[in-house]
Amino acid sequence: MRVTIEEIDIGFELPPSSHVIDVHGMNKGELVDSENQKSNAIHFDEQFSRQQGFSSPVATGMTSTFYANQLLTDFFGEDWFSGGSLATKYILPMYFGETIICRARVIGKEKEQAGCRLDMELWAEKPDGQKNMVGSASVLVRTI
Amino acid sequence: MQRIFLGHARVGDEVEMRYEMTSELVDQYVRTTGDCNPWYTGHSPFGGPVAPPVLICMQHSMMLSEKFLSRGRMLISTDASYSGPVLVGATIIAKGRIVANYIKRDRQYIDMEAESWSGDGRLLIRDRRSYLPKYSKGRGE
Repeated sequence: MRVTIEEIDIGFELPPSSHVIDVHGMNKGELVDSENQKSNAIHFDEQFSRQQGFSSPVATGMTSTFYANQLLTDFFGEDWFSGGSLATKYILPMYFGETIICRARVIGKEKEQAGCRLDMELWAEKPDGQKNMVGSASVLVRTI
Repeated sequence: MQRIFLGHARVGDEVEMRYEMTSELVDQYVRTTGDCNPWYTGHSPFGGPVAPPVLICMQHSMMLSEKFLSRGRMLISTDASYSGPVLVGATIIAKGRIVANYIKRDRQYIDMEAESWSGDGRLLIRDRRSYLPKYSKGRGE
């Protein structure tokens, strides 16, 4: 982390991260396995996903949560593992090949006995600003 | 065990899964996301390699798939709190319980609360997640 807790106040925005949703990573026998009966065809079957109302297979709901986790882990380091919380709500489908940008902004800062609690709003958006995930996060900062 | 459509889940239905947080699971996550944090594969402030917390949460969905069909299912929201790091190699016991089954704006929702515990009894992660058994409107498969 490149800043100290004293430099973080309400309104502070974490450095955003940008990702291209990778069909090869998500579908080709990785977290979603087309040969595994327990995998969800909505993530790899063209016909099935269209039957469900989508234009093509959709990325897993956890995709933006993975990227949010990365954003928060990279920024807060070990504090994130020891007492973070993360709530995410997926409001638009995400398709493979799309770019999503994860952002987080501090909306609360409170001193606690063990450190400083930061509350954040976070979201994932397309390059045009349309949000596909909204959420919140909280972390007790001890080490910065 | 024959798996059933998630829309037929009843409040109170339980699922459970015991597994090891292997380096293969973590590697899978790293390859899928491109998140190459060196703590996931090498030394970390917690000693050895540590699993990304969100990966343990993802196993809660895998646990649900042990009992309920995943085909067509969509995860709508998650709300998780992390109590401590999970070292690669740790044994994890995950337990989940269906806590709600309801219709909202013509779509059926199923909510599950889940916890993951270490083999030595430490609570690692607690979360609540909401699913659409199917994206299209109404109940039924």
